[in-house]
Amino acid sequence: MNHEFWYLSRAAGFTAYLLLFASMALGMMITARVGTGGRRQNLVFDMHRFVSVLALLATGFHTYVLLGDQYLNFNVWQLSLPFLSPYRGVAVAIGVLSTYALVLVVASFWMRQHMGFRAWRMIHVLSFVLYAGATAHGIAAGTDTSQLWAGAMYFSTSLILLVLLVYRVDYAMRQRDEARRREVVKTASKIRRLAA
Amino acid sequence: MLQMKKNTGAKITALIASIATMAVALGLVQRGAAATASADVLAQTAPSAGASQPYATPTKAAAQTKSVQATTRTTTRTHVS
Repeated sequence: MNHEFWYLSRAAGFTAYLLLFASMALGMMITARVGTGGRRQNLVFDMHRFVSVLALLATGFHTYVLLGDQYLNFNVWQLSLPFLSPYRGVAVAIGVLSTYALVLVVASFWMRQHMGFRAWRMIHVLSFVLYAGATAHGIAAGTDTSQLWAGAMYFSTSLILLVLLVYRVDYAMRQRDEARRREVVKTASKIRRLAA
Repeated sequence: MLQMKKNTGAKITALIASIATMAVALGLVQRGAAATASADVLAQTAPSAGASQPYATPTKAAAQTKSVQATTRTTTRTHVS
Protein backbone atom coordinates (compact mmCIF):
# COMPACT_ATOMS: atom_id res chain seq x y z
CA MET A 1 0.00 0.00 0.00
CA ASN A 2 1.46 3.38 -0.91
CA HIS A 3 1.16 6.50 1.20
CA GLU A 4 1.75 9.14 -1.50
CA PHE A 5 -1.79 10.53 -1.47
CA TRP A 6 -1.69 10.86 2.30
CA TYR A 7 1.66 12.67 2.20
CA LEU A 8 0.43 14.92 -0.62
CA SER A 9 -2.67 15.81 1.38
CA ARG A 10 -0.60 16.71 4.43
CA ALA A 11 1.81 18.83 2.37
CA ALA A 12 -1.09 20.58 0.60
CA GLY A 13 -2.71 21.21 3.99
CA PHE A 14 0.37 23.06 5.21
CA THR A 15 0.58 24.99 1.93
CA ALA A 16 -3.10 25.97 2.16
CA TYR A 17 -2.62 27.05 5.77
CA LEU A 18 0.38 29.24 4.91
CA LEU A 19 -1.47 30.75 1.94
CA LEU A 20 -4.43 31.48 4.19
CA PHE A 21 -2.05 33.13 6.65
CA ALA A 22 -0.51 35.23 3.85
CA SER A 23 -3.94 36.28 2.63
CA MET A 24 -5.05 37.24 6.16
CA ALA A 25 -1.85 39.20 6.75
CA LEU A 26 -2.24 41.07 3.43
CA GLY A 27 -5.90 41.80 4.23
CA MET A 28 -5.02 43.28 7.62
CA MET A 29 -2.18 45.26 6.05
CA ILE A 30 -4.72 46.84 3.70
CA THR A 31 -7.19 47.82 6.44
CA ALA A 32 -4.46 48.98 8.86
CA ARG A 33 -2.63 50.84 6.07
CA VAL A 34 0.64 49.03 6.73
CA GLY A 35 3.04 49.09 3.79
CA THR A 36 0.28 49.92 1.35
CA GLY A 37 1.14 53.51 0.56
CA GLY A 38 1.03 54.90 -2.96
CA ARG A 39 1.06 52.49 -5.87
CA ARG A 40 1.57 49.51 -3.63
CA GLN A 41 -2.06 49.59 -2.45
CA ASN A 42 -3.28 48.15 -5.75
CA LEU A 43 -0.60 45.46 -5.71
CA VAL A 44 -1.30 44.44 -2.11
CA PHE A 45 -5.06 44.26 -2.73
CA ASP A 46 -4.56 42.26 -5.93
CA MET A 47 -2.20 39.85 -4.16
CA HIS A 48 -4.61 39.52 -1.20
CA ARG A 49 -7.30 38.35 -3.62
CA PHE A 50 -4.97 36.12 -5.65
CA VAL A 51 -3.44 34.43 -2.59
CA SER A 52 -6.97 33.75 -1.25
CA VAL A 53 -7.81 31.95 -4.48
CA LEU A 54 -4.55 29.98 -4.24
CA ALA A 55 -5.43 29.06 -0.63
CA LEU A 56 -8.81 27.77 -1.80
CA LEU A 57 -7.22 25.73 -4.61
CA ALA A 58 -4.64 24.25 -2.21
CA THR A 59 -7.47 23.43 0.24
CA GLY A 60 -9.39 21.68 -2.54
CA PHE A 61 -6.29 19.65 -3.42
CA HIS A 62 -5.62 18.91 0.27
CA THR A 63 -9.15 17.55 0.61
CA TYR A 64 -9.85 15.64 -2.58
CA VAL A 65 -6.40 14.11 -3.12
CA LEU A 66 -7.44 11.85 -0.23
CA LEU A 67 -9.83 10.10 -2.62
CA GLY A 68 -6.74 8.27 -3.88
CA ASP A 69 -5.75 7.07 -0.41
CA GLN A 70 -6.46 3.35 -0.06
CA TYR A 71 -5.87 3.22 3.68
CA LEU A 72 -8.89 5.20 4.88
CA ASN A 73 -10.90 4.87 1.64
CA PHE A 74 -12.65 8.22 1.91
CA ASN A 75 -15.56 8.93 -0.41
CA VAL A 76 -16.57 12.36 -1.74
CA TRP A 77 -19.32 12.79 0.87
CA GLN A 78 -17.04 12.03 3.81
CA LEU A 79 -14.65 14.69 2.54
CA SER A 80 -17.30 17.26 1.62
CA LEU A 81 -19.79 17.07 4.50
CA PRO A 82 -18.99 17.61 8.18
CA PHE A 83 -19.12 14.77 10.74
CA LEU A 84 -19.06 11.95 8.17
CA SER A 85 -15.33 11.33 8.25
CA PRO A 86 -14.27 8.03 9.86
CA TYR A 87 -10.93 9.67 10.74
CA ARG A 88 -10.98 12.18 13.66
CA GLY A 89 -14.59 13.20 12.93
CA VAL A 90 -14.80 16.47 14.85
CA ALA A 91 -11.39 17.78 13.76
CA VAL A 92 -12.15 17.00 10.10
CA ALA A 93 -15.62 18.55 10.47
CA ILE A 94 -13.98 21.79 11.66
CA GLY A 95 -11.81 21.67 8.53
CA VAL A 96 -14.84 21.10 6.28
CA LEU A 97 -16.75 23.99 7.87
CA SER A 98 -13.68 26.23 7.56
CA THR A 99 -13.50 25.34 3.86
CA TYR A 100 -17.15 26.39 3.42
CA ALA A 101 -16.29 29.71 5.07
CA LEU A 102 -13.25 30.11 2.80
CA VAL A 103 -15.44 29.54 -0.29
CA LEU A 104 -17.80 32.24 0.99
CA VAL A 105 -15.00 34.72 1.69
CA VAL A 106 -13.32 34.16 -1.69
CA ALA A 107 -16.67 34.43 -3.52
CA SER A 108 -17.38 37.69 -1.70
CA PHE A 109 -14.47 39.35 -3.54
CA TRP A 110 -16.46 39.19 -6.75
CA MET A 111 -19.90 39.63 -5.15
CA ARG A 112 -19.10 42.84 -3.27
CA GLN A 113 -21.01 45.09 -5.66
CA HIS A 114 -24.08 42.85 -5.49
CA MET A 115 -24.19 42.22 -1.75
CA GLY A 116 -23.31 45.68 -0.40
CA PHE A 117 -20.51 46.78 1.88
CA ARG A 118 -22.14 45.70 5.16
CA ALA A 119 -22.70 42.07 4.08
CA TRP A 120 -19.26 41.92 2.48
CA ARG A 121 -17.68 43.15 5.69
CA MET A 122 -19.61 40.61 7.78
CA ILE A 123 -18.36 37.81 5.53
CA HIS A 124 -14.82 39.15 5.74
CA VAL A 125 -14.97 39.14 9.54
CA LEU A 126 -15.83 35.43 9.17
CA SER A 127 -12.29 34.90 7.88
CA PHE A 128 -10.98 35.24 11.47
CA VAL A 129 -13.26 32.38 12.53
CA LEU A 130 -12.18 30.37 9.52
CA TYR A 131 -8.50 30.95 10.33
CA ALA A 132 -9.06 29.80 13.91
CA GLY A 133 -10.93 26.78 12.55
CA ALA A 134 -8.16 25.96 10.09
CA THR A 135 -5.59 26.18 12.90
CA ALA A 136 -7.67 23.93 15.17
CA HIS A 137 -8.16 21.47 12.28
CA GLY A 138 -4.43 21.43 11.54
CA ILE A 139 -3.47 20.86 15.17
CA ALA A 140 -6.17 18.27 15.96
CA ALA A 141 -6.35 16.35 12.68
CA GLY A 142 -2.76 16.72 11.52
CA THR A 143 -0.38 13.86 12.17
CA ASP A 144 2.62 16.22 12.16
CA THR A 145 1.53 18.44 15.05
CA SER A 146 4.09 16.89 17.40
CA GLN A 147 6.91 17.80 14.99
CA LEU A 148 8.87 20.87 16.04
CA TRP A 149 8.61 22.60 12.66
CA ALA A 150 4.81 22.20 12.58
CA GLY A 151 4.41 23.60 16.08
CA ALA A 152 6.73 26.49 15.27
CA MET A 153 4.71 27.24 12.15
CA TYR A 154 1.35 27.29 13.95
CA PHE A 155 2.77 29.41 16.76
CA SER A 156 4.64 31.98 14.63
CA THR A 157 1.83 32.50 12.07
CA SER A 158 -0.79 32.89 14.79
CA LEU A 159 1.44 35.30 16.71
CA ILE A 160 2.07 37.46 13.63
CA LEU A 161 -1.65 37.62 12.89
CA LEU A 162 -2.41 38.48 16.51
CA VAL A 163 0.07 41.38 16.39
CA LEU A 164 -1.43 42.59 13.12
CA LEU A 165 -4.94 42.29 14.58
CA VAL A 166 -3.98 44.34 17.65
CA TYR A 167 -2.44 46.98 15.37
CA ARG A 168 -5.53 46.89 13.14
CA VAL A 169 -7.91 47.42 16.09
CA ASP A 170 -5.68 50.19 17.47
CA TYR A 171 -5.62 51.86 14.03
CA ALA A 172 -9.43 51.68 13.76
CA MET A 173 -9.80 53.20 17.24
CA ARG A 174 -7.35 56.00 16.42
CA GLN A 175 -9.26 56.70 13.20
CA ARG A 176 -12.54 56.85 15.11
CA ASP A 177 -11.08 59.19 17.74
CA GLU A 178 -9.70 61.41 14.98
CA ALA A 179 -13.10 61.54 13.27
CA ARG A 180 -14.77 62.41 16.60
CA ARG A 181 -12.19 65.12 17.31
CA ARG A 182 -12.77 66.64 13.88
CA GLU A 183 -16.53 66.53 14.46
CA VAL A 184 -16.16 68.30 17.83
CA VAL A 185 -13.93 71.01 16.30
CA LYS A 186 -16.41 71.48 13.47
CA THR A 187 -19.38 71.77 15.85
CA ALA A 188 -17.46 74.17 18.13
CA SER A 189 -16.58 76.48 15.25
CA LYS A 190 -20.21 76.38 14.10
CA ILE A 191 -21.41 77.39 17.60
CA ARG A 192 -18.78 80.16 17.73
CA ARG A 193 -19.94 81.49 14.38
CA LEU A 194 -23.57 81.47 15.51
CA ALA A 195 -22.69 83.20 18.78
CA ALA A 196 -20.69 85.94 17.02
CA MET B 1 -0.75 48.64 -17.86
CA LEU B 2 2.63 48.75 -16.16
CA GLN B 3 0.91 48.08 -12.82
CA MET B 4 -0.89 45.10 -14.34
CA LYS B 5 2.40 43.71 -15.64
CA LYS B 6 3.93 44.19 -12.20
CA ASN B 7 1.04 42.35 -10.59
CA THR B 8 1.37 39.48 -13.03
CA GLY B 9 5.00 39.10 -12.00
CA ALA B 10 4.02 39.10 -8.33
CA LYS B 11 1.30 36.52 -8.98
CA ILE B 12 3.71 34.20 -10.81
CA THR B 13 6.15 34.61 -7.91
CA ALA B 14 3.38 33.73 -5.43
CA LEU B 15 2.46 30.68 -7.49
CA ILE B 16 6.07 29.47 -7.64
CA ALA B 17 6.48 30.14 -3.91
CA SER B 18 3.36 28.07 -3.22
CA ILE B 19 4.68 25.13 -5.26
CA ALA B 20 8.05 25.42 -3.50
CA THR B 21 6.28 25.49 -0.10
CA MET B 22 4.38 22.35 -1.03
CA ALA B 23 7.61 20.61 -2.07
CA VAL B 24 9.30 21.56 1.21
CA ALA B 25 6.23 20.46 3.20
CA LEU B 26 6.21 17.14 1.33
CA GLY B 27 9.85 16.62 2.21
CA LEU B 28 9.26 17.40 5.89
CA VAL B 29 6.19 15.17 6.06
CA GLN B 30 8.02 12.24 4.46
CA ARG B 31 11.06 12.75 6.66
CA GLY B 32 8.82 12.77 9.74
CA ALA B 33 7.14 9.56 8.62
CA ALA B 34 10.52 7.91 7.94
CA ALA B 35 11.80 8.98 11.37
CA THR B 36 8.73 7.49 13.01
CA ALA B 37 9.15 4.26 11.03
CA SER B 38 12.81 3.95 12.07
CA ALA B 39 11.86 4.70 15.68
CA ASP B 40 9.42 1.81 15.44
CA VAL B 41 12.17 -0.45 14.09
CA LEU B 42 14.41 0.52 17.02
CA ALA B 43 11.59 -0.12 19.46
CA GLN B 44 11.01 -3.56 18.00
CA THR B 45 14.69 -4.54 18.03
CA ALA B 46 15.27 -3.26 21.56
CA PRO B 47 15.79 -5.83 24.32
CA SER B 48 12.62 -4.72 26.06
CA ALA B 49 10.68 -5.65 22.93
CA GLY B 50 11.76 -9.24 23.26
CA ALA B 51 14.99 -9.37 21.25
CA SER B 52 17.44 -11.88 22.63
CA GLN B 53 20.51 -9.74 21.81
CA PRO B 54 21.15 -6.07 22.59
CA TYR B 55 21.81 -5.42 18.89
CA ALA B 56 19.91 -7.48 16.40
CA THR B 57 21.97 -9.21 13.71
CA PRO B 58 21.47 -8.04 10.13
CA THR B 59 19.51 -11.15 9.24
CA LYS B 60 17.24 -10.74 12.22
CA ALA B 61 16.75 -7.06 11.44
CA ALA B 62 15.92 -7.93 7.85
CA ALA B 63 13.34 -10.45 8.99
CA GLN B 64 11.79 -7.92 11.32
CA THR B 65 11.69 -5.17 8.71
CA LYS B 66 8.95 -6.96 6.82
CA SER B 67 6.62 -7.11 9.76
CA VAL B 68 7.52 -3.54 10.69
CA GLN B 69 6.62 -2.34 7.21
CA ALA B 70 3.17 -3.79 7.64
CA THR B 71 2.63 -1.84 10.84
CA THR B 72 4.40 1.34 9.74
CA ARG B 73 1.24 2.79 8.25
CA THR B 74 -0.70 2.55 11.47
CA THR B 75 2.14 3.78 13.63
CA THR B 76 2.94 6.63 11.26
CA ARG B 77 -0.60 7.92 11.57
CA THR B 78 -1.35 7.17 15.17
CA HIS B 79 2.05 7.38 16.83
CA VAL B 80 3.03 10.75 15.36
CA SER B 81 -0.30 12.37 16.07
